[in-house]
Amino acid sequence: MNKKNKSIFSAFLGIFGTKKKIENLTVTDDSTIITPTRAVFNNFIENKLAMVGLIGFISLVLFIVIGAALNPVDFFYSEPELRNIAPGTNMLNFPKQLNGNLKKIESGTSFSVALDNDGKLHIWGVDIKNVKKVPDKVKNSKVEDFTVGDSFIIARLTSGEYIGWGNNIANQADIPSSVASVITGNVKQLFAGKDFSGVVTLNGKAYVWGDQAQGQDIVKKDWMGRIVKAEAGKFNVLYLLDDGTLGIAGKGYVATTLPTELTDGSVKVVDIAINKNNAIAIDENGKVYTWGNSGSKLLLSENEEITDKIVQVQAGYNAFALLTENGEVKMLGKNVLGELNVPTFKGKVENLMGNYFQFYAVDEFGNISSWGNKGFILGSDELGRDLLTRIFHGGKISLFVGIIAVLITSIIGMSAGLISGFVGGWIDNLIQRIGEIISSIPFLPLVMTLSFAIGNRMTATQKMYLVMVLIGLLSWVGLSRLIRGQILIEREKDFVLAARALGLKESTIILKHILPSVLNIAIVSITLGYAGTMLTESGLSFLGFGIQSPIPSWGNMLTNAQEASVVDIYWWRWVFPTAMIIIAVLSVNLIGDGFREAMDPKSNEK
Amino acid sequence: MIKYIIRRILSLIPVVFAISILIFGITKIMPGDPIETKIIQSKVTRVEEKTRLRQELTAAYGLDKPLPIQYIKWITRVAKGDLGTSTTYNKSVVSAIKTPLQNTIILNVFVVFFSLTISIFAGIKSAVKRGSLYDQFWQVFSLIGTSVPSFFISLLLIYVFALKLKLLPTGSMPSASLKGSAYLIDWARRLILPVTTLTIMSLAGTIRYVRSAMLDVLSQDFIRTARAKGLSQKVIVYSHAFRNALIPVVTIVIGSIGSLFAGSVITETVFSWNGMGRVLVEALSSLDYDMITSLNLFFSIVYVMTNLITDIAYALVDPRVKLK
Repeated sequence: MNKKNKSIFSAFLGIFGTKKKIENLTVTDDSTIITPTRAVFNNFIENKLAMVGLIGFISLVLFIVIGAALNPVDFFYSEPELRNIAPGTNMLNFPKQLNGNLKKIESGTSFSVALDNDGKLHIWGVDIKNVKKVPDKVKNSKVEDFTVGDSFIIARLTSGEYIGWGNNIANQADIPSSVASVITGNVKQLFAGKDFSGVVTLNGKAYVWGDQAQGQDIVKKDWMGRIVKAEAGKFNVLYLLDDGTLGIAGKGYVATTLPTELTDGSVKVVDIAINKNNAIAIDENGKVYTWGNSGSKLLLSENEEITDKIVQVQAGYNAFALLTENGEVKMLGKNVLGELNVPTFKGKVENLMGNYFQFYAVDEFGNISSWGNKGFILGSDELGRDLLTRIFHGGKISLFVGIIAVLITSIIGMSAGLISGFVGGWIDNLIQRIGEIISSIPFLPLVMTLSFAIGNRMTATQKMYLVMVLIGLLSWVGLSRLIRGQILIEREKDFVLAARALGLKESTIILKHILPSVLNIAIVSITLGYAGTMLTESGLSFLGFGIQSPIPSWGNMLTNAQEASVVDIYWWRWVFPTAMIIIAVLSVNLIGDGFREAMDPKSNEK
Repeated sequence: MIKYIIRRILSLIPVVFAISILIFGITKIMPGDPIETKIIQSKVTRVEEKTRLRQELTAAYGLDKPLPIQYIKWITRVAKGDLGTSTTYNKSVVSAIKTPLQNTIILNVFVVFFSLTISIFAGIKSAVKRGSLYDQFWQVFSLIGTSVPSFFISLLLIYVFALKLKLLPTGSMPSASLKGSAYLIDWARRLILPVTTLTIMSLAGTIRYVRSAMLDVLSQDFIRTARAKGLSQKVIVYSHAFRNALIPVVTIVIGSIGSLFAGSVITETVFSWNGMGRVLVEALSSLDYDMITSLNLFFSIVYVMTNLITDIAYALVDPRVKLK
């Protein structure tokens, strides 16, 4: 035993208060006689692989527990606009050369686009529908203006030509020739929503193309010639008319709840913003009006009033940004992806930009600040949920389910094995037969069938417990047989005979001579069983018969990743959860192998 | 020997009996009502016809009788080979599972063949060259193989060979329009990835056993004697040690067949391989009662039979077993 190992060893033993003994023993060093338990301890700590496994598993547990505590999750949350976003945290990382040289920024779901004063486009964030693949023509010429929909971009070159790219499912990125011929040299503003886009002309007319299913394209005759500004929501367009009244196109709650005071001319609106289900407007006195869906925290309640005078509004999906006349930024809405974490600005804010989940503010010195959704380190899943958060919480569930299942297995398996081995007789026979029956039905089909038959009417949480109990109840046979066999072997050994000859009580022989070696074997089996249980749970959940969504587990995160398209394009959705399963199972297996080698050094030599 | 076999078979009777009760019990706690499902399937619309059909079916299944009688009715039906009708396939379970059964058997025959051959050769070589790079490779292989979920191997193989290299199809069965050799080649191509997945999973377990069985034998006295006689390493390994190591190896591999059949559920699902495992998943999700029961019975019988064969094989090659 070298000195270094010795010191680690004694440090470990120090925890258990046996340090004194070690100090006494150091005098005799090499001739030290150590008890079997200490030898096992010693062997385990000297086993590098086992220590790698142990450290790996402890760090994994810490990673998951701390991560889950820091990232609370709403299991029922979903954000369809952010589904299948690739890993990346650069959504807010605008190019620094834009400071002081910015014309405007607009954001899509996972990316933002800026135009500088030299007519050059800058795109940052995570690519979606190839929006980052800027057509060569746009790259090589000056851009005059642009607009961004949820996953497409339309740019107007100085030559007057319009080029669109990205998602073009409803031809929203291509201006119809009929519109193009009318608006030449006459465009005031471009705007874009989910699957549609439009223009406002200098003479106050608007034209909308692309998706028309929700009536987004309808521009009332009454508005024509009077439109000053248009803002596109998900399925609506909100128009600001020259007399300060509003008009709204499209269906939905936000269209039906438009306050009459904003349409009858009693209030003169100066700025507007709209998102999926809500809209906001400010009048010339800086008073704020909100309407739309009441569940989104985007409505000002009756007694709540913003005392500052608001001069500009900018829409996001979960929040609206409001600029006060003093150059401060106020937020209204939910802090889902960091939308309310407004940074401190170096000077007075003069302009608000962005959309969806990203906000940008430009201060009086031209400096840009950004806040909102940074992006997802490991990407997002099919419902737009952050994969890393799901991995934290899914890990908690997977590890927990495994622990409980293996606890049930150990309690039943050990009691059955001990009773079988020590009591024998007809009880032993009965237990053996029960074990034979259980192990005669293949495990996976049986668990699947039972989980389905019993768990069909259960809630997701109840089903989680059912899975633990089922796995536990059906996998104890191996352990009980192992323990029974070991007891039978140990009982016949010479040292037990010797103990008996010495006249020791039968209970002492069992407790002090037979049980320790039986327990050794049980610990190895239980540790390896834990690894196996985690694999079983992941397989069951993967097939949809284990933990049910919305409760995450590493297995069920992969349930929807079986299609070739997901395997191919959205690789992060299966690579990261399986990587976690492998790390967890591998480290537990290493610990189990380490135990085995520590307890039976002969197996080491094999 | 015959006495042992008879005793072993007789001891199976209570086990099979208990299994059948268990499976019968599961059908009783299944959600939904099999009779109503069948009535909906039969597309009968008129109320009186529905009532008549309900009565007929209830009588046929004996659902109006107490549970023990229902069980006896069911078990005699099953014993006669009538497994009921599948509601998803709209034909008798026996004819519905013919093709899936063939597919699963073909899949597993290949897997058993490959895993047996590779594990015997690699396991023996590992044991003989203990501690070498070769040995360590297989040690690491089996450690990782036992720590990796099978669906990961499937997805990885699909990603690399089907989607990136585009060498093989992602799965599913060949189209019926293909004829002759084209059909066979397509079959073989679709077989490669699932067979590889299952072989890797199976190898990871068996190779350890082969290696340690061989190591056990190599440390026996008679090997030392053979060495002392001056026999060459080759003769010792392949003539003396190998034959003895084969005993546990063969039993382990035969014993793993039962779990292979059941374990291919996940792999068959991922590769859309039309086998028994996939049929089980489908039957569960579409509430195909008779199918679910039959499949569980099938898996259990395969399991029990392979256990029986393992025991008999063991007794055949190792006469000491009978005495225990």
